[in-house]
Amino acid sequence: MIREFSRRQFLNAIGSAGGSAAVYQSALALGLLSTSHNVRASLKPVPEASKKVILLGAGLASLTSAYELERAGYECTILEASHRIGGRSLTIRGGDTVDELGYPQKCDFDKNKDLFFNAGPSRIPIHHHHLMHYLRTFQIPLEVFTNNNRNAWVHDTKAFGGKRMRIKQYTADARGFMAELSSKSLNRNDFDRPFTDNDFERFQAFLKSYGDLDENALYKGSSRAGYQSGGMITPAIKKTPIDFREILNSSFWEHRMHWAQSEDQSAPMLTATGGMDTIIDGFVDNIDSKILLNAQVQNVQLHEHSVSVSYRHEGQLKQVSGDYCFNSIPKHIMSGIPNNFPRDYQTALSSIPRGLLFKMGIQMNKRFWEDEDIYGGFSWSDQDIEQLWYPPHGLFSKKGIMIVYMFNDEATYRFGLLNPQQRLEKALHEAEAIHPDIRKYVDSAVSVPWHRMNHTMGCTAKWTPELRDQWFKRLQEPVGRHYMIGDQISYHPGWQEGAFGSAHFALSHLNARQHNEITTHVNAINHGQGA
Amino acid sequence: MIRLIRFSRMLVLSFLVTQQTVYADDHPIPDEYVYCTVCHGILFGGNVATAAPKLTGLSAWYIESQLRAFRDGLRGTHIEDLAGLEMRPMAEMLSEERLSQVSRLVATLPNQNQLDNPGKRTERGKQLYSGCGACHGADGRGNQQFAAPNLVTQDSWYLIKQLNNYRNNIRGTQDRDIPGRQMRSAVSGLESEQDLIDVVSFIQSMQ
Ligand SMILES: Cc1cc2nc3c(=O)[nH]c(=O)nc-3n(C[C@H](O)[C@H](O)[C@H](O)COP(=O)(O)OP(=O)(O)OC[C@H]3O[C@@H](n4cnc5c(N)ncnc54)[C@H](O)[C@@H]3O)c2cc1C
Ligand code: HEC
Ligand code: HEC
Repeated sequence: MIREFSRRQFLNAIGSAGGSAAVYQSALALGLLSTSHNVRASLKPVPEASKKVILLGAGLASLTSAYELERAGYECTILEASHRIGGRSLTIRGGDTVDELGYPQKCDFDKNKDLFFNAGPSRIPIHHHHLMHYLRTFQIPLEVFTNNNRNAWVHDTKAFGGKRMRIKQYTADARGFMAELSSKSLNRNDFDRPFTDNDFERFQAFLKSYGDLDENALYKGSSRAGYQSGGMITPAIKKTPIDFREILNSSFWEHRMHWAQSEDQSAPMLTATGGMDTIIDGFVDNIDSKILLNAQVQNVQLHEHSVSVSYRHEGQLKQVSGDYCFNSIPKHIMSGIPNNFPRDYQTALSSIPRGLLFKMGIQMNKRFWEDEDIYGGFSWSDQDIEQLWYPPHGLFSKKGIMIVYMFNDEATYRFGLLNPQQRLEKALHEAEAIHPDIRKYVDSAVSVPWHRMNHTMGCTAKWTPELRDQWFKRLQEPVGRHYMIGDQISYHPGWQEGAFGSAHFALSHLNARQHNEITTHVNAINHGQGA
Repeated sequence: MIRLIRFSRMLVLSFLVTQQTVYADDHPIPDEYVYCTVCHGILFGGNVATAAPKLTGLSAWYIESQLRAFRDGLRGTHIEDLAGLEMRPMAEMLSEERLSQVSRLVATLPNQNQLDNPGKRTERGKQLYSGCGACHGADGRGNQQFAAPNLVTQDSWYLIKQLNNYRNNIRGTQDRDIPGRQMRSAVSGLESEQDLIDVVSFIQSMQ
């Protein structure tokens, strides 16, 4: 018996947390939710009845969804507010417009295949399996990305008299001193059984090797720090170790020193040859769906059997409706778009703070870093500029794009307040501590404060453990026939893999409900069992 | 090569619009002001997540005065005022003509969104508001003669935030900012967070 029910009842029902959790649980039980290794979406062919999907936003989450949905026979329409496809996957080249609210910029880089600036993603961690799957599918040309260059510099305003230091020297000396001190303070009697004499000796040997200590377990410098001179046709002279207290004074060891060992930053990493937007091209070339650009979504209405979306296009308000809607609009923008979502869902959208990230690309008319034995990777500073990147491609060519990348909120905030010219000035002023002559080589620059980019207004979604507990499930599950997607709805915001993962979650959920493998709320209401 | 294909695809796609047009005679916002809605919400209904307030319900003269205040550095200059600092470059971008034009445009939009808080009349709220009415009007709908805006259509998160900005010397501090300074001196009677909540609830109850 299908009975009539009011819109309010419907909304209450789809808003009920119990019902949503039930869907999630049954999807889990059926093994429908993809794990990191199960990267294929394998949707079943779509049933004739409900096959129209409206996708909001044309970033990676929507593009992946459209790609998979099309292959299962769904009809997709993608609405994108921006003048371009790709969202945060943005590669800037000479002639491009940088659509920053308040300071629109034009990129003046030379037109040359190596002179591009990945203003969004650059790094591909090899364990991001969905990403790797699509790279393989589209045969995207890849190359190794140097994420840790021991020849690059550490600069710390509180240590070494503010003088730059090679990362390899810092690391070797820090390890040497640490090993020497541990070895000296070790006392055989402090170790209880089952720690044997043999273990103890092995441990002493471990420390010597770890710190490159001499036969008396003292640190007298190491070739790991790089030689002071010689080593080929004259004897090698080691560098004098730096004062350990200076190392302690510095802040490099607090996190920067270990950065390239973290889960998502460890070698080897990959990057897309010629710019990360080749990944976007890969999708676009394999999708037939309509992608409307300059189509800003204005209203999203949930109905019992459909979702309708109003958007502006060429100065007019238009409407389109579909059986389902996949929505990747940044949650903090979506919360300002009229809708008929249940109140708690709307609250969830507006409750997750938006993050700040800042990148600047500077065209240098000389690859001066190569004269310092630096090819790729980046230097670190404890000033606002944080990371100073050297392009890993185009080695030995004339020019190169250096990147300043910061992810510290306060630093990003300070940079975002300035106009583009002032930002460049501040970046160069700070970078002079590492490369005193840097100004000589500057051609031009563009800067991208992600918290002020048109239609983006932030990266990375700032989930705290409390917000996760309160809202994550609510936003991950569909509300009626509407799914929020994007890296924002994942445990990996700020990574492409998060965008893919969320899309695959929604796809498997949709697949399951389309084939009656799980009971949706709407069915539950129809049978009078709603919340 | 790939990039060329992508570009041509974009051109083709823009001709593929087949969807029907709805509410054609409603209030389409001209292209040049669509970017305002990325922060202020579609139809300027406000968005707490971007900290950009609702603008519908405000008069053109007030919108214009605030755009000028941002543009001329009277508002949105304090280092802790992330929201104001984010708004300031938007006003700096506007020509004199556009500044008035957008103010008039926004003032004609319907005030359709519900308030985030239904408001509540308490004795304390009423008492606190008694000093405000002189400028903002007994009904809270503002008075151009005193440059005091309509308050009753505004969401509580924004009213509270602005009252705190005045209390914490973030807004209304500059010599040339005469309306702002007047308003700042008017918040001295608001002593606690609870006072703010009470007066704002009272204001909202007048809608
Ligand atoms: C500085 C930076 C560095 C990064 N580095 C890496 C990295 O090294 N490796 C990595 O894997 N990932 C990285 N990322 C993350 C990666 O860019 C994102 O995870 C991914 O691009 C997110 O895709 P998405 O589809 O979820 O969202 P988005 O790409 O943000 O897509 C959302 C889309 O919605 C559109 N939209 C907004 N409003 C509307 C509206 N009203 N109507 C219609 N459309 C609308 C937007 O224009 C946008 O196209 C980085 C990101 C940044 C910013
Ligand atoms: C990048 C986001 C952003 C954009 C784009 C933006 N604004 Fe704002 N605007 C804000 C924020 C944030 C505030 C709140 C400032 C504060 O808290 O003091 C604000 C405040 C205002 C105010 C003051 C309202 C009041 O009651 O005090 C006006 C008027 C205004 N904006 C108009 C506009 C107009 C017109 C446009 C487009 C031309 C625009 N804004 C574009 C973010 C934005
Ligand atoms: C002396 C006249 C005066 C009095 C009294 C006064 N105000 Fe104001 N108020 C103003 C003016 C003028 C402005 C606009 C300031 C500007 O242009 O920056 C204002 C602005 C505000 C704003 C910011 C609104 C916005 O959209 O940004 C709030 C909130 C506010 N007043 C609340 C109050 C409250 C609450 C009281 C009583 C405690 C009060 N005012 C008393 C004159 C006054």
